[in-house]
Amino acid sequence: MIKKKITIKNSAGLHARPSAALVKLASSFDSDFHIHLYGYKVNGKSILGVMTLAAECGAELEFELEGPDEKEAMAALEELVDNKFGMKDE
Amino acid sequence: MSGSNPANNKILHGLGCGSGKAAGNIVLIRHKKLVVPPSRIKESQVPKEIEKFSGARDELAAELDELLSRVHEKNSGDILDTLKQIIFDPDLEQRVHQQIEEKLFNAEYAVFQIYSDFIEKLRESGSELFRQRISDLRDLRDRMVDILSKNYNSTNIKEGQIIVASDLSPTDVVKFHDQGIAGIVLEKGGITSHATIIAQSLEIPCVVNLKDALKHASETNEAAIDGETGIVIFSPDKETLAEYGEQVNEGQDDHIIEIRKHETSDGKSFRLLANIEFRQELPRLKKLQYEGIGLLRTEGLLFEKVRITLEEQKEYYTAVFRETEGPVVVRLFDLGGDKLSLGSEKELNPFLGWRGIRMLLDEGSLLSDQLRALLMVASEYPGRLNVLIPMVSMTDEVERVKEMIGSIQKEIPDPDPEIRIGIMVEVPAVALKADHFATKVDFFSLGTNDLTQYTLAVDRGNQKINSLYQQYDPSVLKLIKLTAEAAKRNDIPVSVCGELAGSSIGAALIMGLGITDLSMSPRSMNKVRDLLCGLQMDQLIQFADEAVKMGSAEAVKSLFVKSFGN
Repeated sequence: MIKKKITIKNSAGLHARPSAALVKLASSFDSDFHIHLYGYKVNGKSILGVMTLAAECGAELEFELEGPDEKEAMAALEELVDNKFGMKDE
Repeated sequence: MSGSNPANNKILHGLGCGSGKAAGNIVLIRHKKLVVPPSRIKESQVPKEIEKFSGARDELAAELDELLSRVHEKNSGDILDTLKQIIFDPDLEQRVHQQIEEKLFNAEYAVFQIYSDFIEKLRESGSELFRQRISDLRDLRDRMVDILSKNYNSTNIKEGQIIVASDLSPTDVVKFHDQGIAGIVLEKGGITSHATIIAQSLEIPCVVNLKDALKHASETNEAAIDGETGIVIFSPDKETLAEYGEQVNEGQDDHIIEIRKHETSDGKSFRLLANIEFRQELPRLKKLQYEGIGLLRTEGLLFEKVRITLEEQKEYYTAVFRETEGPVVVRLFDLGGDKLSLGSEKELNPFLGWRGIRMLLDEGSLLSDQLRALLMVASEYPGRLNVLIPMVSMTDEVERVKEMIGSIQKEIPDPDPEIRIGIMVEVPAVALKADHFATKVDFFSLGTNDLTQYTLAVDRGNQKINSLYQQYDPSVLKLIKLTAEAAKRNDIPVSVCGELAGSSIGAALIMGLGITDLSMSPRSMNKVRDLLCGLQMDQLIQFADEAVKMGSAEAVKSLFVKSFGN
């Protein structure tokens, strides 16, 4: 199991479309993916779970991955967040 | 509800839509349950409920896929993608399963409960970002419950029952007909609404526009209805039940008619054609004297299943060609307006918007698949297919369909060389430019329902202004006349396929204006035939000539009574 702190950088925060992108990418890996924030833990492959976090810009999430491809998954997910989910900042 | 209610013959009045009387036990159909009451199941039913949940979810996913395949704009595609992520959400699925397996709730309640939980959580998160998603989630929840409860309802219907609902879709009506219902009572709807027309065609006694029907029906078990007068009697006594129940057989009496020449008393011949939409309507045609199918509505195929395959379409068209005689005028999918729209955005003015051929030309594969299916079937039944293009307003639209037909014909091994391509005349501009259009097409078909609505600027579905919708209005008659004259000058056939053709006054007017092909709901055929066979052509011409000069539909009606009695 690996864990890493990740900060949300896009101004609108983890709203619907970034959440969808995150879940979609996470679901393409075999590893289990959970996100911790303010003491909550949600399934990172559940769009509803991720949305209920309502993470805003600057929020510091903890990504937790466990499984055969956890390293690759972590790298890919981190890149997605760092690239502001491939969207122009709104 | 209890069986011990005293019979009190509570009489209410709605709008009668014909087809005789009926009496029986009431079934309430409620769509869009806003609150789903908790309902427990037995442990042995768990697998079935889980299966129901997965089935409803897959059905909903297929609906979304269908939308997804038709949406080209990137943003709406993303949104639909997100909706699919929601319905397949692993957390959601796990929790629904828990509700069913551990708490023994039925699928309907489990889905309602879990979706509602998530809605509440998102709301609590207080983020403005998810406001749109909350309403999406609510829509998904309601649609799921709808799918689940409809399945539930439809399995519970028994022969001889009276359906009471707020409103029904045409597909519902057909489904209930197959299940052998005796009658229909609706809170909403008018005589020309789609569900009503289908009920009439299937000869189901039907009363619409009955205020608070659901409320009254929920207080009793039985009802007797009269589709002619619009009377509905809740808690009928034994005599009433027997009287209305007996009439059922009489109403369904298919009096074998003598074969008569379809001509006026002075020998002018006319043709009666049938408007058909569902396969269930075909058997009845065998008992009627008709010359062909003047309007085959096809969009009903898509109400049932948006993604219909080529094979399924072929099967349907083949059934129609096999079970009928004479020409078959097939109208291409006429979507939009008040019927199923493929667009993701709500239109402000759908009747003036993306409908009919306008939509089809933008949705290439839907149109090319339909044409391919039709042309393949036509090669088996040569000389009978007439392709009718809906909502044409520009000749360019006709040209594009012709090109598509031409190129598809090249793929077919033994194509029917005699395919005719015609247009609906339903936009006033087309009637006014009928000569121009007549040089581009093989036939005209006057869709008087929409022509009336567009000419008078009256939405026929709007109950507040219903009374302004007058199909005998002289302005509409003038447009019919212009179209008929242009067709004659250019030597192409013209028919009327709107409701107008099925009414006595309308049929007389149409004949008088020089159109001798009348297409109508099968149930109107005997009445129209009896009327026209008894009149002389010069009387009809004189009547129509005068009617066109009148000031109002009322005046036209009086003139009809004066000319022919009633």
